[in-house]
Amino acid sequence: MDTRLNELTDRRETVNKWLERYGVRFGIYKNNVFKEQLFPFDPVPRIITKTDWEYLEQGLRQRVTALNKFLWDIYHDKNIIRDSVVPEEFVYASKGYMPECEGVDPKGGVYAHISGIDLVEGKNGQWYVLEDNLRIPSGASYPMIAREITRKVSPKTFADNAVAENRGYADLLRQMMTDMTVGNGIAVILTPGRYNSAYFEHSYLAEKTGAVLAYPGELIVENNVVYYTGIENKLNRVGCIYRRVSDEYLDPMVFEASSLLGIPNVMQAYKAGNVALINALGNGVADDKGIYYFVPKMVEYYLHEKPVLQNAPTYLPYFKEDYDYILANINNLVIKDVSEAGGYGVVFGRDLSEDKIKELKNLIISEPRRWIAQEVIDFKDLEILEDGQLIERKADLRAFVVSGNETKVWKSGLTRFSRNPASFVVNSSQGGGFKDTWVMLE
Amino acid sequence: MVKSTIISTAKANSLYWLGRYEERVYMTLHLFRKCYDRMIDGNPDDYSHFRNNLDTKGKYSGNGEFVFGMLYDEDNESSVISAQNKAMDNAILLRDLIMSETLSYLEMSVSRLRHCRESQEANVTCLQPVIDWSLAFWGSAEQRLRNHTALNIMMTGRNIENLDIQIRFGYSFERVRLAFDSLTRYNDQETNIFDGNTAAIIDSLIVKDKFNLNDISYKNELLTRVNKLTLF
Repeated sequence: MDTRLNELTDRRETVNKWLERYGVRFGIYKNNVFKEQLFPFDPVPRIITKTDWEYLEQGLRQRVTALNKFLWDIYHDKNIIRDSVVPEEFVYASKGYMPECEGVDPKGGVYAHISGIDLVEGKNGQWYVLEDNLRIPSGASYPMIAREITRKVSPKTFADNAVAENRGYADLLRQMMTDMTVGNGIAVILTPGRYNSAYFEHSYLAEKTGAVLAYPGELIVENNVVYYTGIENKLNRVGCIYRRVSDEYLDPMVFEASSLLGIPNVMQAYKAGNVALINALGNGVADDKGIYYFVPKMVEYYLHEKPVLQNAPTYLPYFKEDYDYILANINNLVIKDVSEAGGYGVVFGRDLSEDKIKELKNLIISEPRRWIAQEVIDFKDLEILEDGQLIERKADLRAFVVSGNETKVWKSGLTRFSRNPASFVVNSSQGGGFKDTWVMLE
Repeated sequence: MVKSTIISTAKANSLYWLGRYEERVYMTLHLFRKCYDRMIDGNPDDYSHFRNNLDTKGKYSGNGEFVFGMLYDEDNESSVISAQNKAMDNAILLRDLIMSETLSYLEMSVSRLRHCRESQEANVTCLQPVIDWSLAFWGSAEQRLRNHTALNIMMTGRNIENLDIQIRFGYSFERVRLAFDSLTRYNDQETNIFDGNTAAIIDSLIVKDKFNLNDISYKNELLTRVNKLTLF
């Protein structure tokens, strides 16, 4: 480990006390019981060189720009289907495709205002995109507050290392919300409530951006305009909703009728162009694990550029050639269920018994559209500190891209690591921890 | 970005109860320290006065159990830890208004109470930081809460709780009158959260020639009115 990090790692306990002081937690449900726990923080940061960052920044901006164009196209002209770049089955069979969004015009043509792109670095130094998260990507608040705290606890570390500032994430969000706001209304962050796993993040981002943290029932729609309701029935017009409620629960009049988390008739206000929804509805069609395969093709199709970032080598059983390859090489591949998220529905062929392999093959044969297969990438492990010893663990990087009038990449990101030495799964819901991500200035 | 000028009913409710519960933490500890001091070398039943005034539901046999129960028993609604948990439950919904710095004093108090409970710490001095952080919480809230309506609602909760406890513990006329006058400062035109009739009745009750907290029916009426002063 770099000796310039000694002071910070020596003060790990102090950092943890500060994290507790600020209530930096995430919630999980176990056996239907809600529990909050601290998100384990490792003080050894992921360090990204200036050169690597310039490459990532360029690639991320390019990728998100193409994904936004794809979303516009899918809900309008559908040229990419007509030109046979993406098969229509992958669009219309996707759980994330929402026919209700056909023809809706989000301001500036932006659908994915906040994109969380998950990447890994291979041992050969090559970065690969593992997943695009374009609905409600979470996690930015953790490196934000970790940086705030580590700078307090070990100022020398930051005096000795030229690290790009990351506390401007709230400014990026604020600017984007200002760009997107309609009708001089206020900006709100709509949370499902304190028992949501990411509630800390919702409330922290509201504080840092100056947006109002709104709870279900506090927003109403009258004459296709959204209002935040106050005491004595005072109303503030809402121009922009950064909603942390899933698409299907957002408007009980259109989607899940039993939802108590949404805003009745918000879809009408959105369709009328009277409020911005951040992120837009219907984005799930673009971050579907099946659609992921086509993202490099989208870059070429919409931008006429070579994709800067690579996907992990991926196979779709939908294509005959890939189907044969997957069935022949299943033991060496990682198989993902496209309808699952959060690290669920991911299996490594090498970990399965003969019977389980047979079962999985049958599932692939019967529902080829439901699965993708990827080569197992030999991740570069990152050092973490455990019981005073440095050990290596699998880790990924979630980079955040914010799109308003411009598309900007946040110079940081959430690095999640697996605490289990045998596991590649880094999700916090499955026991993973997090690190700060340092982008070096020189 | 355009800022909201209003606060929702649910947040107003949380602000009010945050004010009440946090003041309850402070006042309970303050009064408990006096009771604790008397019990050091006094009558074994010296805590009963304190217990009766708080209507505590906890059934404790003897000083030791009482001390531990009043501080750390989460099943006892009058315990310090219960009030602190409830203050936190309300505050956690208000981070965007009161800010993380303010909230952090409550996080630390909850953590301290749990730590002292786990280490079976019966000496009330171990909870001095909870008193310090309570005062720091109020200072930070006044400094950071830019929305005056929100601040007024929270301070109303705080002052109603203070008045309630003073009445329960038989404070003097001067102290109770002063507490009521302090409370009315927070009912400005804009906030308008008091019930006017109730405020007038309380005003007429806390006068020198009527004031008598030894009269149970007078005391109960005053407490009932105070607790109906706002709509929260």
